[in-house]
Amino acid sequence: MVIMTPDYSALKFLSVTYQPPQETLLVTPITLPTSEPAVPQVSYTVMSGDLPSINISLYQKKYIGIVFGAGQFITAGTLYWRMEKNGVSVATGSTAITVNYRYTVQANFFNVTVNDVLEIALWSSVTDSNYYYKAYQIHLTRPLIFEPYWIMKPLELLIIQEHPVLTLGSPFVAGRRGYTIPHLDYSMGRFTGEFYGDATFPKGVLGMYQLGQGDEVNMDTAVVTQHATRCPLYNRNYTPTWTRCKALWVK
Amino acid sequence: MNITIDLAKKQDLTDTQIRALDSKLRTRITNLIGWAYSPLTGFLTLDFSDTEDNNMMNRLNDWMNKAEGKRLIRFEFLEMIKKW
Repeated sequence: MVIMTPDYSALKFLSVTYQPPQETLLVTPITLPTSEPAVPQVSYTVMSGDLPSINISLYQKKYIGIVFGAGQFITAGTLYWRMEKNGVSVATGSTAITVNYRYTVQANFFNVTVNDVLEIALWSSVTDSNYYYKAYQIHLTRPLIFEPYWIMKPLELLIIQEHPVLTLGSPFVAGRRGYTIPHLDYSMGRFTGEFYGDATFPKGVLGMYQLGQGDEVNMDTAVVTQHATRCPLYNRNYTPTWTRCKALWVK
Repeated sequence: MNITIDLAKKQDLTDTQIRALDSKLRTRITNLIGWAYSPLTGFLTLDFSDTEDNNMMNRLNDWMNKAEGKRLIRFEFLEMIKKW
């Protein structure tokens, strides 16, 4: 008979510090073209300093690039958009915009790395619509401290922050997305506050937690909102920023 | 309310094709607000904004009014549950 000996890792702490979003509010709005522009109006190159600061080396991590483009329609019309990553089309779409309403395009690029170029092209069915705001922030999702197939006992997500926090223009939060805890082949549900797990078993791909906006939902696509006065009107993620865990394995 | 459909076709769209798809979708689906298509996944997401959600909430409010001040405890829709 073989006697299996359970063993614990040392207690690990994962601290994540988000960089503030980069925002630009144009003094003079730029008129949207009525056909797709050759050069997208919104463009960000991912720099290492844009990534969330992490205190330890991770076995796995993914980054979401959240990019905003916003403006106003003077007469009612259709807004067309395209998301591009390194010049390759990621998603396209359109939204009917009400007369005198402001629109916000929130594009979520999944699995971005340093030097990736993230862009949004905007154009319109009418001649008097414009663009005047852009922003960008990188989020961390699917982190894994240990190799997959080890039981996390415990897994505790102790500090949860909301990101992004936009400040320019007339910002308003349209919604907030909780994070999920992958466990075996299913999710332990969606959480907006602290999480205390006695034992969870992430199988690797989804990491210890998965963010909502840009990963669990709206991955590699954009969400378009509109409002008479609020702009940017956007969705935030509940982001764990302080995690404590041990790994349990059998040898 | 959003609905995502797998078109099982991964094709990048030009400006002209985007406009043609937009026109076709809006002709067939009159209350459509917006849509998004990914050539990476072939998924088409139809956006009905909050209109449909608000219709459901209005019906809920109507039922609450008809409850004559009695407290609503729980509303179940498919597997989604709203609790008060």
